[in-house]
Amino acid sequence: MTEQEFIQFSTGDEQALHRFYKAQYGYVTGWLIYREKCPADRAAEFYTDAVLRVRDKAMQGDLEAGNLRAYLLRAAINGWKMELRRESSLLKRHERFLEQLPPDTGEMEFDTLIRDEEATGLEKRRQRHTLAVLRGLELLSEGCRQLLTDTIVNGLKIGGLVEKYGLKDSRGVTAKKQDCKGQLQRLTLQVMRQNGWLYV
Amino acid sequence: MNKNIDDKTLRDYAANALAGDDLREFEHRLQAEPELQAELDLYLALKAADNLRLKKQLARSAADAQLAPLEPPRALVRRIPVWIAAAASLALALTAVWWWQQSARPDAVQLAQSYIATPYPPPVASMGASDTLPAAIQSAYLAYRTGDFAAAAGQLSALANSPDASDEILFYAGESSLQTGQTERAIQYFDRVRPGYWRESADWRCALALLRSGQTDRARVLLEQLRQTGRKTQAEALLEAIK
Repeated sequence: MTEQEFIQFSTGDEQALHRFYKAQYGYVTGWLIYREKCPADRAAEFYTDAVLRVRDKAMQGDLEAGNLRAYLLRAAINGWKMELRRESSLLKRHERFLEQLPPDTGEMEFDTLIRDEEATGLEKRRQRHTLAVLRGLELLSEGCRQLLTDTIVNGLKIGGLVEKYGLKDSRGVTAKKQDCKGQLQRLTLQVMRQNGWLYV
Repeated sequence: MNKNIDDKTLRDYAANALAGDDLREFEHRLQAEPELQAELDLYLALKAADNLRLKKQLARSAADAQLAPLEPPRALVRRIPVWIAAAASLALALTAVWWWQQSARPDAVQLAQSYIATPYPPPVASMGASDTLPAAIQSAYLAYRTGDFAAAAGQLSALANSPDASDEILFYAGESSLQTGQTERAIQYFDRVRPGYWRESADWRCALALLRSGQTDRARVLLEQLRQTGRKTQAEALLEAIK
């Protein structure tokens, strides 16, 4: 990966993510299958988890272009070994819960979407909160959604977002982020209240 | 977010990458601080949804491109006959003995390495002055100041890619690369420092980097120039060692 490609990758560019994903796919999944004895039908899963973790670390400024592939391979192997120990991260359990949801939940009673804690590995409190946040996110403006994705999800530095959002300075971005976060929290609370989940 | 728990800790906790005391401390605080728990819950919900979106796209991408696992090359040791392996081991042992005898004498590379081992002091900021710097620079300098050279190198390299990057940025991008073992990259940054306040320091650190990377002739030229400066003693010691 060139310096320029790495900059794109570490600032959240999704095209760069796709290029990186394709470039390393054969090598890392091959290593998992042939050297680590990971079942062939699961290698892509651990590889994808590792790519997203590497991207996260790169966006945080914790990685450099030179050590990306080694870190990626290590992350993929760790993911597979965690699975062998029957461990999974809190983040992965959230992803699995969301993955199990029916395609269109818009018209469905939220209570019917809550699953057994043992089946999902996720407490009901967390399942409810996740559903409420995602519904709140749908009601939020596109600008706010994007800003919260850049700051909370991708962890991009505030200073690097001033130009993107056409704001005066870092303080402007921080204020806007707080405003959007407040809106999302109010909407989440509203969904929780509508479903009678607040004091459950 | 709670000021004492940084964003990185929260992310590492979510990814199951915290251990030991860090994990215990974080879990203790989660119990005690509802605000931190709310922060974690919000991050998990948003991150999981975004990861799922990306995973679907990437899976499609893999299917479209018909990506497939590649068998890694077999380890070399399994393919070479035993007698070759034995001969190679003997040669290695002899080389190790020779190297050990050589290393008893200090050479230019070792000396350069000992100078490199002490990082160049962090940027000086008068009170309040650093507040006026852009956040990205503040963050990079903070990483350097706290000894997190990997983070500093990553952030400063990004800043140094701008054509109008200041000499100070170029110098510290070079120095943090040097501290993280990226010698060639460090040389490139030092070379870009323009004549002025930072040039002499850049020459000094560049000479050390060049010695480390085996470019003795280029290093010698810089060290000869540095004999005329305040670094005369160190430059002459290195020149002597090169002989």
